Amino acid sequence: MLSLRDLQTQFETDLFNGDAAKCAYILKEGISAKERIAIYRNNVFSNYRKTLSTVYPVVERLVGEQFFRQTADAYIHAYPSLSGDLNEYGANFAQFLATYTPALTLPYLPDVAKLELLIELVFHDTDCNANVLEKLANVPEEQYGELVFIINPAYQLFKSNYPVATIWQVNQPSSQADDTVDLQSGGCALLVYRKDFAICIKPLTKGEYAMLRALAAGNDMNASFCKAIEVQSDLDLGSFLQQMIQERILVDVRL
Amino acid sequence: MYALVKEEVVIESSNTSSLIFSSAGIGLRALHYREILTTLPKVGWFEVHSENYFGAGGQPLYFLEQIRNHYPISLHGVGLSLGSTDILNLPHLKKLKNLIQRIEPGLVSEHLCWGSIGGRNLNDLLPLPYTEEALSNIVSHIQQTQDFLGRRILIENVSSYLQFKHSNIPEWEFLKEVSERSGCGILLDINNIYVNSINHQFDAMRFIDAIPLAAVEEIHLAGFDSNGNCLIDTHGTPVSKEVWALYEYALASFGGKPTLIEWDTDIPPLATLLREANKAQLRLEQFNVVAA
Repeated sequence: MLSLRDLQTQFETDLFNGDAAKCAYILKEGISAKERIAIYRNNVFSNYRKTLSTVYPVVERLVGEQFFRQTADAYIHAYPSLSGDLNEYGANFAQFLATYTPALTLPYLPDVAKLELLIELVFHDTDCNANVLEKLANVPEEQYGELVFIINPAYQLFKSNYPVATIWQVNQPSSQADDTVDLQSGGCALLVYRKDFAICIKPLTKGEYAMLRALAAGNDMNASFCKAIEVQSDLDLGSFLQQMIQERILVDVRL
Repeated sequence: MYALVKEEVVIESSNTSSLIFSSAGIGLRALHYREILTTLPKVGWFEVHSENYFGAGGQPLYFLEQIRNHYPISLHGVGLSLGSTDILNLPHLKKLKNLIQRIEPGLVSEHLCWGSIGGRNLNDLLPLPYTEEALSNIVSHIQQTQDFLGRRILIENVSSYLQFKHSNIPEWEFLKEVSERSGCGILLDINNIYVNSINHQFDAMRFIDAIPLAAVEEIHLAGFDSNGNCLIDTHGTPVSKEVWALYEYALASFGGKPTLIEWDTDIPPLATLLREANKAQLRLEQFNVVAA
């Protein structure tokens, strides 16, 4: 008699082995043991496919349903699920797409997947209250340079060599825009954040991106601004900060 | 041991109590959040899959908390893999405990199944061989879970599409033993009993007869499909007439119990779910009247 551990190990092997499944431990009743394990294989694979297609709808739209399914199946074999929470499955999809030969003709695909994963992360990230304006009111202007801003935890910064934001935009179900994107139109730097639970994707200039990265790393205003003007000398810091406070990206501040 | 949630007469008028009484509930779905909050439909309680609220914040938790202000909530887990020979997943348990503290659910449940092996999760409710070894393994995991959470949990019988050759305990005996040895309650899924009785050729009523009355704290009803050879527990159709009949048989045995209409795929409009729940509610009221 198989020990419970051996049976569970064998079951897992058979589930992923398709026709080579042995299934000697399964009772024959009417239909064959192979057909019985195929029901579980079908359930398991369709759960994973559904999860991937929920997190990566734009990738699916770009490659089509059939190609997405084949890609998902290859991913499922390559990347075992490590969590009992199915919602955590698929975090390595971008990495996988970058090496998946049939998809190499679409070099921007991994970055589209990365953006979709960031959207998913921001959607579920921590809530927080903003009280930066009240605090700023008590700081003398000459000390502004030493201010350290706290960034809303529900945000992600993203940079790509492809026009990923445009690709994402024109592939939304609600999009009315022309769906041709000029791949030569250049890369993008993006801020992904939440506003009243809706996901916002804001294109950033080089300087704005550098500024936010520096602030997020815990640098004070002086140090962050120095990094930002290195890449963009005409950065309008005042209006950018105002916007970031308004959009509740900068949620707190300390000296 | 953990205290049973007693079925008492509701005397408090506050609708934010966590207790779930012998009424019909439905699964809470994201596409119904706003409609529920604006219409506050007449339904006893809502059940959610615990894992869908394991995130740190954002929309899902916001709406769950809003709805919790008006209704009791039941947390139904699908990912603990209690029947696995892997050790229990501590991060998963911690997330569940946090969610319990935040939502104060009336009931917390999991499944009589396994889902992971060697750290790999299959994220499905896989059947166990019904043996003494599998029994003592899952009992120990349920006890660890109850100790960690500091409360009694319910364990649900699952549907299955195969049987293991070396199973030597009937499924209903196995479930009863799990409850008696671990002190857990039972979430009796009537649809799963029916599906298994067809797939594995046994008398569904015999299953119900074997279950100790005091252990049953919740009942699930759902719809199934057939693939030609097997009934498949898809939770995507209305409850069948055979399952309603078996539910009435169970109510006659156990009395009224909180009853959930499960509908997880091809989710219909809220009104359809409420109508389906009302069919259960009417049956519950019949049996509550008879019992009183």
